[in-house]
Amino acid sequence: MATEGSGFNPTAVLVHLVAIALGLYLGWIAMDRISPDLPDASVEPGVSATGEVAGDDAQSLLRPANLEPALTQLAGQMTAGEGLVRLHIEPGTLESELNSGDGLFQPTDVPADAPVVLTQTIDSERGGAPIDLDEIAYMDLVATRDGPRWYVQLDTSRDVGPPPWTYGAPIAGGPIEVGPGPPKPVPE
Amino acid sequence: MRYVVRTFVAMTLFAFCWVAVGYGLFQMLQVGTCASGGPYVSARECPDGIEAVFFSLIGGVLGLFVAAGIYLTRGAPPGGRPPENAGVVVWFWTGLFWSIAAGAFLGVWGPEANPGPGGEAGGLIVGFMGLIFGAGGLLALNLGKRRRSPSTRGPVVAPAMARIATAATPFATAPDSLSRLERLDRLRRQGSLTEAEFQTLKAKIVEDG
Repeated sequence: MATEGSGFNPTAVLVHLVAIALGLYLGWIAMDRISPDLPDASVEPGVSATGEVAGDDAQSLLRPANLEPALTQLAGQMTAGEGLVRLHIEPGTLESELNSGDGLFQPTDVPADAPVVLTQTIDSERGGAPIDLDEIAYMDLVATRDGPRWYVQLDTSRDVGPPPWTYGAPIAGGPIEVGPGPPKPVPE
Repeated sequence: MRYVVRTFVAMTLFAFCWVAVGYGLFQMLQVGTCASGGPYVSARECPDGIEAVFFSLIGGVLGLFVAAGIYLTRGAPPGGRPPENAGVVVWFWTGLFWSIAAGAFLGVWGPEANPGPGGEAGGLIVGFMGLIFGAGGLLALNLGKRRRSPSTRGPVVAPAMARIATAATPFATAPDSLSRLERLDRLRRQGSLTEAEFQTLKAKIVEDG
């Protein structure tokens, strides 16, 4: 711009500088007006149903027909390179804990029918009081050194009989482990 | 008058679009990954007005094309020669990529930076790539100037040396100095060699014996 014309051209320099300053100012004002309210970056991905949902309800996330779209919606909130350390499933909510690194799992790895299959296995294992989806407090799928493992907590506020009230299983569903502590996630 | 108006409009639009592009990228980094729609309520729901961020980014890039078009038709400045238009490379290319870099770095390191999930790594990659790409525009401008500058042409003696070398090639296999000198003289008379070139080669033949 300074060399337009013969040598230094003050008109060219002035026009350029004033226009750039005005453009930056107008741009700043305009962009400030359209700025959206940003979400809290610390929130982990998750989904929730509207209203109270019991384990055996038609809207329950323990049911395969609901868990599958919920997992898809969860995957849409994750960034490439992120994996699940823990997936927490309750009848009305799906929560997650993310990290990056080896040994983690993706929402697509989760078999949507696992909660139902596990509940049936636990029911046949326990005998006595029947265990249905209503008796499940929550299910966690945790990335461990031995691969993702389920941890199932029965709802002790209901008539579920005597302990044990916790069960563990590999991601595929069996063999079932009776009365384990919460699995240790990776990376530690 | 035409120069002043068009330059002013183009540069204002350039600067406006730089802000739009940088701002769009900055906001995208703050939002990170979000989801809209679906049967359930997402924890990372996309905020209202997120579309404006995408429009500012895309509209900013398109606006740079418009600004470049106006800038190229600005004509000669008052009392000056018609411009060479090399500067548009800087305003368009370097401006675009450096505004991307600025938006990315502000989104990661800026005072109001709060990059969303995955935003930090992505922002740094985009930022450094933008810096490098933008510098390419300055480099292209500099190379273009050097190509046009007479001072950077090769030495003027180079073509003459090439002709001398061509003329001297047959002498490599010439039987003796006398016949070489005769052929050299013939080339001079034909106009293939200048007097100075003739003298140079003649001295060389005499020296070689």
